[in-house]
Amino acid sequence: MIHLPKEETKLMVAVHGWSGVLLGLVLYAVVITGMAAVFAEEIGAWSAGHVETQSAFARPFDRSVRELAARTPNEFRDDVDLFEIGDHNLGVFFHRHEVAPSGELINRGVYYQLDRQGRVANELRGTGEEVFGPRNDDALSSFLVDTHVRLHVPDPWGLLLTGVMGLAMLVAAISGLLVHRHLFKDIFTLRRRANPVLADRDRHSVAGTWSLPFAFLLAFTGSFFSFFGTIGVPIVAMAAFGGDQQAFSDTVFGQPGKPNPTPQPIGNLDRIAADAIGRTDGAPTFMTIEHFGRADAAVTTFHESKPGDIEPMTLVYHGGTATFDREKPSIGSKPSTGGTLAAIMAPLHFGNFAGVLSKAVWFGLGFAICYVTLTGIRLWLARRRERQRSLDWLERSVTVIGFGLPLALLAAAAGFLVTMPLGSAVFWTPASFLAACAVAILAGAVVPRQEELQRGLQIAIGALLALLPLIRLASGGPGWPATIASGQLAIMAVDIATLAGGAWTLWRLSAQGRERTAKDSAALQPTE
Amino acid sequence: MSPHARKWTRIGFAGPGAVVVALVTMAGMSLWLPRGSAGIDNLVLPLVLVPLIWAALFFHACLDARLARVVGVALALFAIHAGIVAHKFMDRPAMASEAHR
Amino acid sequence: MMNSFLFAAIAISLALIVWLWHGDPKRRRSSGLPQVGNSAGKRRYLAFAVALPGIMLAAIGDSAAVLVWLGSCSIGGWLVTQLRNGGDKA
Repeated sequence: MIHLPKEETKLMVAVHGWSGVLLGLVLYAVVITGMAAVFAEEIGAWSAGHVETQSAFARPFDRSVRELAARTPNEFRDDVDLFEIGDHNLGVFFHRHEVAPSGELINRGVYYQLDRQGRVANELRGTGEEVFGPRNDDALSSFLVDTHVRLHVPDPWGLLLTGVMGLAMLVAAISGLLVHRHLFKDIFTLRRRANPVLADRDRHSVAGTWSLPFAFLLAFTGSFFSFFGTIGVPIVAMAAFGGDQQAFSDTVFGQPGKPNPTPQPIGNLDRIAADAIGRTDGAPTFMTIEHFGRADAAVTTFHESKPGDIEPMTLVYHGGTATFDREKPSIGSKPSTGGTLAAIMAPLHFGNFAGVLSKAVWFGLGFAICYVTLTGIRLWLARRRERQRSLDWLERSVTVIGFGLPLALLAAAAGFLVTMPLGSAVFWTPASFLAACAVAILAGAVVPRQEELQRGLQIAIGALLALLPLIRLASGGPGWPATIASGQLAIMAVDIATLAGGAWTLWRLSAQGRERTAKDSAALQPTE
Repeated sequence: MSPHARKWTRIGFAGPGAVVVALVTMAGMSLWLPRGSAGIDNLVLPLVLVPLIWAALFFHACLDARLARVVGVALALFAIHAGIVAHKFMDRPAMASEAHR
Repeated sequence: MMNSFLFAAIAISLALIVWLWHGDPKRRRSSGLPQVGNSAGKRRYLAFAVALPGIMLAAIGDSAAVLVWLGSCSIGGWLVTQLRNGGDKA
């Protein structure tokens, strides 16, 4: 499509190939966990057996918040964050803002986790970093999201690592476009019976071509998220505000208006929530109260985007009087180009702007990008197989990681399902993941033939997928009648998806097995 | 310049050079971009665009046949934006001492 | 109502992608199928027709639908390419 001179094409092929081989397996880990993280909310509800469908903000919570305020030390009552945890229960974080010695903005306070009746089930004190860890009932979804965001490497290194993966994907997408001479002419061509190099090349370039716009979009938005807080904000704050990150935050996220520290009790939060639900046709996903207990208190409710829009909705209320102030853009006090661009980065990356429909599409695209990454590495190996026998170890590694990683994620899900009722899921979810990784690595070391190794891992994936709903039920999870009665369809949907995925995987493998047996016996016949 | 030196110059500008120039450009852009209707475009747009700025610098360093142009564009971007940031910092102590008088 | 437009747009575009796939000359040549593929002009016309439903969704201002349509065409196109014809030798 784009005809570069010969030397530049060779360089782009080298850039594309080497970035793919050196970083491809780590990128694959980021993309596959991202694919799972698209449905983190549904997986959370499915795995923990959450059948509640009514939002915590649609039930009275004003009294609970006032009681919590009364028992919270004054020093932590500057601002309050309210959000849902567990089975549509309420989490409340009273906090103040601090600047760490590094210049980073942190929040310190008291985090209350409430139960269904609004009573305190747990109370944690510390910074946001310290108190917001995985809980027993969200250990699986936390594990998936944390693996994707930072590969479980401590901040800021984990974020920098995934940010570099995003840039690697950006480079691979652009260089791939530049080297492919006949992008549209080749878009439907899959020569499955050609030599391995040609077959792998077709698989890789067809999947890559179809998913190219989204590979670019996801790489760009993903690297934005990784670098935004770790490098971006400190540098821009340094240039524009002499390093004052609080001033940066106030300018970008703050509310305009004159401060008024006169004490005034907060207005009725239930009234605010009801008004917000009425205006947006949906419960808030998050609520913040700034300057709690002051005359200038402001309550902000965050909602999913309107149908047809991508940018989430944000409403602002006068805190003291609980009256509606205005609808504001997600970022900035007025609509602006920068604010809109920054605000759509999250929905574009997460694919959650149109509910299950957009999430399903983003999941499919994630699968396609995983396929592009693995087939690309396989193509690189196939080109060198004739010349370099010593790359067997890399070929094996691609199989172990390519199929071992999804197997390990499924094992984490199984481990979570079994141990959540016992209260030890926070430990056993990652432990199950690591155990399955060890099994896959051991299989990679001992199984003699590459084809057997691949087939064995795929059978394990298919079997575990099909067994997950049974494990869920056996561990005390709700059955389909209970979930249908409560309207929580995510549980049944995920069960059906895993059963169908497992059945399809095993059926495909058995068809391939039959095809191979038929070929082998046809090969034997002339000698009889 | 020997082919060896040319190759390593290009690698330098495509690798660490692109990172440094992109970050300095991001810092400098916050000082000259218009603020926009909400007064935040100059702060937020550099953050959103920096992956693309880096990618543009990377591919320019790889693909521009004229190495002198690669070096020139990168150094010019660096000098202009570093200069804008340095100027702002030099102004700040001067303003502080003015305030003292 | 909006969802109906979206599903219709996706269905139309995917149907046209199947038409493009069926008559793709390079695919037919490499599969050993009879060379009665679509001409270059017809392929360009069909490609524009594939994009048309998305352009219409953009024209009515439904940015979410445009993204879902584009993603569905990407995945759908990739899946269509996996199909094998009857006499497919590829």
